[in-house]
Amino acid sequence: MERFIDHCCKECTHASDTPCKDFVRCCVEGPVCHDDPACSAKRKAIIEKVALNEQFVIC
Amino acid sequence: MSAINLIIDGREIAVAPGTTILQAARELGIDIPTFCYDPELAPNGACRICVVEVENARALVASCVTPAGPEMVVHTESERVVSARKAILSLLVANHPLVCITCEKTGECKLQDYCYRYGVADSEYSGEVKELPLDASNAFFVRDMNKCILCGICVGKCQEVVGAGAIDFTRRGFVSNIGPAFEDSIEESTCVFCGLCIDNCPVGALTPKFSIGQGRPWEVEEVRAVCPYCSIGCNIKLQVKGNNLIGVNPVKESPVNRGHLCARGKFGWDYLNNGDRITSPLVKSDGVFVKVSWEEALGFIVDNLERIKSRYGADALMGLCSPKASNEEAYLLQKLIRSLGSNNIDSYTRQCHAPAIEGLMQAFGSAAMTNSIEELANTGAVFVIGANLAESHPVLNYRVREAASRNGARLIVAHGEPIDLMNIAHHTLILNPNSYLALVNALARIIIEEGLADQAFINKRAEGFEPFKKALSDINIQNVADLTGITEEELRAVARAYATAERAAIISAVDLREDDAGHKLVLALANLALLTGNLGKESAGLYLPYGENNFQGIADMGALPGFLSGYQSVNEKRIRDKFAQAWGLVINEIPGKAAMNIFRNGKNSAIKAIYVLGENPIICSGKRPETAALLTNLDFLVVQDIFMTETASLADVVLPAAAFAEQTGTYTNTERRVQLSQAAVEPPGEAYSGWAILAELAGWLGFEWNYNGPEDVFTEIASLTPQYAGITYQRLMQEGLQWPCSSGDHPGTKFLYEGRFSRGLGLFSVVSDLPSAKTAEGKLPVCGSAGDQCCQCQSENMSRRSVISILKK
Amino acid sequence: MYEKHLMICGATGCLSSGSQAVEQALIEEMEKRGIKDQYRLVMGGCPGFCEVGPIIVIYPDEVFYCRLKPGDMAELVEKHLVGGELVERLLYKGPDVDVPSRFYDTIPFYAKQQFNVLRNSGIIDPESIDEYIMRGGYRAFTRALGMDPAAICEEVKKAGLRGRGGAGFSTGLKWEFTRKAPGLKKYVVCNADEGDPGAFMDRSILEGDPHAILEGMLICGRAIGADEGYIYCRAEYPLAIKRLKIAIEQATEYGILGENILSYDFNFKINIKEGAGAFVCGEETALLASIEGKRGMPRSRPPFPAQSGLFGKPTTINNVETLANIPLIVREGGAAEFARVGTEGSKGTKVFALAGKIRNTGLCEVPMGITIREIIYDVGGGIKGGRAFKAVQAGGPSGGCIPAEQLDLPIDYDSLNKAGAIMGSGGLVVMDERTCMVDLARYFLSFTQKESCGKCTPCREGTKRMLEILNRITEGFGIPEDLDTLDSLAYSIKDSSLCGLGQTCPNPVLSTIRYFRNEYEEHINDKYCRAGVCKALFTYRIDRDNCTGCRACVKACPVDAIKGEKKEPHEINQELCTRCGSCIEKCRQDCILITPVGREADVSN
Repeated sequence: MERFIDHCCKECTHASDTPCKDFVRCCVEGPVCHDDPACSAKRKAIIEKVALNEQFVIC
Repeated sequence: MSAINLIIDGREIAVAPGTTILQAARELGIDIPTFCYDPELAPNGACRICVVEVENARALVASCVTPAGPEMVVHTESERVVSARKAILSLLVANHPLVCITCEKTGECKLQDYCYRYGVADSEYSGEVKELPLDASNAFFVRDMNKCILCGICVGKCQEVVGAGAIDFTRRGFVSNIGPAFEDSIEESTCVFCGLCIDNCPVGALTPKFSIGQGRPWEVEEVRAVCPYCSIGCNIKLQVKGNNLIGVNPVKESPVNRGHLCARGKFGWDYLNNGDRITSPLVKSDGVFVKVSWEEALGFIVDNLERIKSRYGADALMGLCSPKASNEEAYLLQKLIRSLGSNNIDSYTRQCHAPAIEGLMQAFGSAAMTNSIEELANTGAVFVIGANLAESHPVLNYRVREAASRNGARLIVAHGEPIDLMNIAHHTLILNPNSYLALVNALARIIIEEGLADQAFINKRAEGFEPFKKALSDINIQNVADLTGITEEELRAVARAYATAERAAIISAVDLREDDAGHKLVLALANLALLTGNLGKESAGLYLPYGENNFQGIADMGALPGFLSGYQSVNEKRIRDKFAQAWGLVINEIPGKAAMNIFRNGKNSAIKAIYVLGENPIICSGKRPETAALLTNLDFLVVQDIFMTETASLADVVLPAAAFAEQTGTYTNTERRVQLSQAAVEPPGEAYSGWAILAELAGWLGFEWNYNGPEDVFTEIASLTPQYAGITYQRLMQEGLQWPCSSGDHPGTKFLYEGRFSRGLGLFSVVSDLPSAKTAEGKLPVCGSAGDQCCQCQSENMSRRSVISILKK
Repeated sequence: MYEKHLMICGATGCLSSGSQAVEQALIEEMEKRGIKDQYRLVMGGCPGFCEVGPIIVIYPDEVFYCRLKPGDMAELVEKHLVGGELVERLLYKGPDVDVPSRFYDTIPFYAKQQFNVLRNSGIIDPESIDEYIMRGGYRAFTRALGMDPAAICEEVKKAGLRGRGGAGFSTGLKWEFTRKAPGLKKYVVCNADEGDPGAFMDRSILEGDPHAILEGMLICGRAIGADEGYIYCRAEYPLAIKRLKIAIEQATEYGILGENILSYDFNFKINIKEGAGAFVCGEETALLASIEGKRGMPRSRPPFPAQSGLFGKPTTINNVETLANIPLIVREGGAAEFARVGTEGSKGTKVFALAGKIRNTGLCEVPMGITIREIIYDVGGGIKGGRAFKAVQAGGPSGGCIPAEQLDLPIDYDSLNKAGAIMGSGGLVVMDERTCMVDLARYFLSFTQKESCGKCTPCREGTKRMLEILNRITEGFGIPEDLDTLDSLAYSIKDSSLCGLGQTCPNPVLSTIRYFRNEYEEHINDKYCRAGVCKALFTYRIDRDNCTGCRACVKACPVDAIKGEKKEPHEINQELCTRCGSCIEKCRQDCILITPVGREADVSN
């Protein structure tokens, strides 16, 4: 998962023509629709790559 | 919604919501100065001279764009207002050449007037003054933009009313100017020289070239006349000084053209002074024309006509009446021919509109136009098919534009090629003219299918619906879509747009000659109008405007082989007796022959003598050999005209006639409006009014017609023609009247068929849409040009010798 | 993961100071050492302190390096990146700090600022939607999707946001009018035509945080019932246009623009329309005409755009900065938080562009209610060169000047209006005694005269005549009546012009006459420009009593007009002198005086 738009796993369905209403929150706090530490880690990896410091992410 | 009460200059007034302060003030008779305000244009509010003080408002407001508000207290001439106006005038004057002494506009210039009113003699702001070069590149008018005050009215007229879009504001700041794109000259722009900018400019920036140095406004006499070109019959004011016509202005109050003209009306009158005018009677002797006296000429004519009549019978005589002839001329010509015992009186150009006329007769019982020109502005939908109004009837085009752009009408334009009107159309259909019929039939079919037909109207006012409906059910919409190149979706959208409007009008200017495709199309359009109940009410109907200015009138006057005036049939004894009594002679009971048929026979025709009033069959026929053959083989040919036309050059006698501005007469425009055109200048040389020539000739032939003037002729017309019965010159001096006008206090008839059609019920016709073999090579010829410039029919007798000839494409 | 993040400013100011070359050098130095992949370089948005650009901020260390040159990069890489030590000489230094300062909390320029609108500028990669989302982006929009449109308008009203384009109209109220207007088709328009000379607040937002604008427009669309928006961006901002296009593409890909957005019954698409070089197109009705393909000329109101705007449909037009505030307000708890900052009548923060004779030029974002004194001296660092403050021009060509007597005026819409100035878009031009107020008025008026659309008489002709009078005055041909003429003409123009441009363009003239009438009178009656700007109205004379003959001026003079012996008082040859001002810049003794033409030097500065 390189970017937030990429699906973290098979559970994810969000795309512009099949939208998921939790998408935005899910980018940073997700996964929302299911529990999976691996998926959560994928998101953290994206964030860590660009977060300048601890205060960078705003929820 | 309730009225709004406000106080202006201490006076109370209640107005409808949406009324501007300016409009309210005008109702009270308060004169607030304006430069850029024009009720016909979108609200502008640019010049700021109309600012007024509203109590408790932060700044002064422009009264022309500010709606009256409840309890508003307005001061139109307070100190603060006057100070602002003086500043604005001072600023304008600072950048304006003060050359009032030689300016053409002096005496009727708003800048001058307001400076006088507010005591602004000079400007307190001395500085740069613009020095722009004159644009005198074109043949019609001069633009001196140094005098321009940038009110923008010219831009508004050009873009909103006419749609030519030749000019707009250019640049910015102090160097702002108004002109064509890329600062081209007018000559290079899309200007159509309609003259609206000139007519509405409040200052002297725009001047027709003919008028320069010709006379001051107070030296000019204005004579009311009617434009001689197309069948709209715009009302004009001939500007006369001495015996010279120096300009033409439109009449603002006329419901026909409302202050609008096109290039022909505005500029196409200079042919009057052309050196080619025939100024004396001519008789051909040894192949050469010789000038003779009127006595000689008339005597010669009488001898020949009597000779031919006694040798070959009255049926060998024929009269050809130009659709440019006045009603009086046309009436007298047919009276003359009929007095000689012949019913062979017709117009060569009638064939252009014959199919349309026959179609209307079949569907409604009368070929007269169903509705009026001014009603078009208020229609809810307009379907223009096979008409390029911008070229053929520009003023009608302005009304369609107004309906669509300003008043929210849905505009559907169908044509064989792209035309300007499509720029503002909601539905644009470009298709082969051969497919017009298929299109219209498909629309009718869709309207029925989608339940949009006005069944109540059909049941009560029409017949023949069932066979018509059945015939339509055979139509396959997809096939029509393939044939026309228009998708089914669009076809349905168009059908709905037309059928769901409360009032919808159809306009077509199709003209055809010997094939019946035009006839069928007219029937199909009539079907559409009947189907949707768009007849017998305002702002609806079927508009098939004629080309020539008095095409309607000469037919009304009986210049038709089978009818006397008012379409009273020669066949009917009762009618013949009526005329016989009035004229003191017997009317031939056998209808005459149509000009079309006579000329087709060429030199084998039985006609031996023709009196041609103003027509030019040689050119109108497209120079067909049969036409020339017939004319050259005639025993005797008389031509009464203003120029030596191709036909006149073949004549035995040529009589010099007066042109439109040189004679008084009435003309009936395409919306059945009889209008009086007054003589403004004397005809040249020995030329005479047409009616007078005919009356004189009649006297020489032994008929006792005692007319002291054209009014006497008209009185007789009215007495014998039911549709004209209530019309008199006295009434016409006030305004034109639309027939039927049955009595002296009848106001005229704006639209027809309110209660019944002329034939009782309207008739649905089944028209198959197989294209006629004769149009195999392609386009349906369309009545393409205004007045006398129609490609086939008219000989451009007037425009050829006028500056407007350069406009012909 | 990256070792460090280097945020290089690629915005207006730093770009002109050469940040591209600095970036190039930095990349080269890192590649030389083969360490480029360990560090993340972002050419991003504006940190605001243009005076000390080019700027690089290193995270997570939070070190602010400034006044950089390509030649500094080797040391920076070697010492800081590889060696882990600060490069002191590249830190911020100035008369307002005792030691070279490291970051936002220690650099005085930033002390009184509060970053709302500029929250992401310089912090994120403007071309990354992911970073925008990480910083809380599109949360407010998600919340708005689930709200009742009327409730959204209420929140914006409660927050007290007023239009940041200059007019200061209540944004929530404007949205409400459009929401209530009848009709199914409505539009949101973003006015990104920032035309005031020297203003670049909107530019920085567009270039540095484009998604904030998209989010603002989306929320507005939801609130008023629009499904389409236009961003009217001046063509002179190609980078902003590029960034906006990228942002729109990304948002579309992410399903934040398009149909059925995030599965709600809401569609929205955004179009970009480029301006074509007309200041008047910043006026909202002229802007709408321009989008419609017509000549950009204003029209009268009513009808107001909220009832009949773009293509005749109800339209809300908002300024870039206004829209950038929206996501902050509409996020959970945002309205109350927003309203805690600012004054009673003017809530929130405002971005100002500090320009002119001020030490710290650049962009700053401060809470409303801050005094002018604080902006000039605390944020701005006071007047350059230690001269005296004369006035500050607020609001560009539509605004007025605020003199020294009014330094304690709080900056908010109403106070500024009362003082005869306007908030405008936020441009503050600071002036010292070397600014001629007459020339200032003339400068602004020449701008508006050129930009006047030409539609209405008072503006088109009136500004020309006013300008001619001012030109005459600055050239020495003023007459006493001129002041009255200027006054009455200005009043007429204000009272009868069609649009905001005309109604406000006399303000600089009126305001400078109001507070600096004596300068006008000196120009007119004494033919003297004491600021030394109007070349026809002064001469430079060397005060022989104080001149030490150091010859610094001689070296500077381009026409060899100064003569004298070394260590002896020198003299300026008035025939040759062009009054270019080079000598007075260089003089160490402050002994070159600005004197009236034809008179000896005895006039105080």
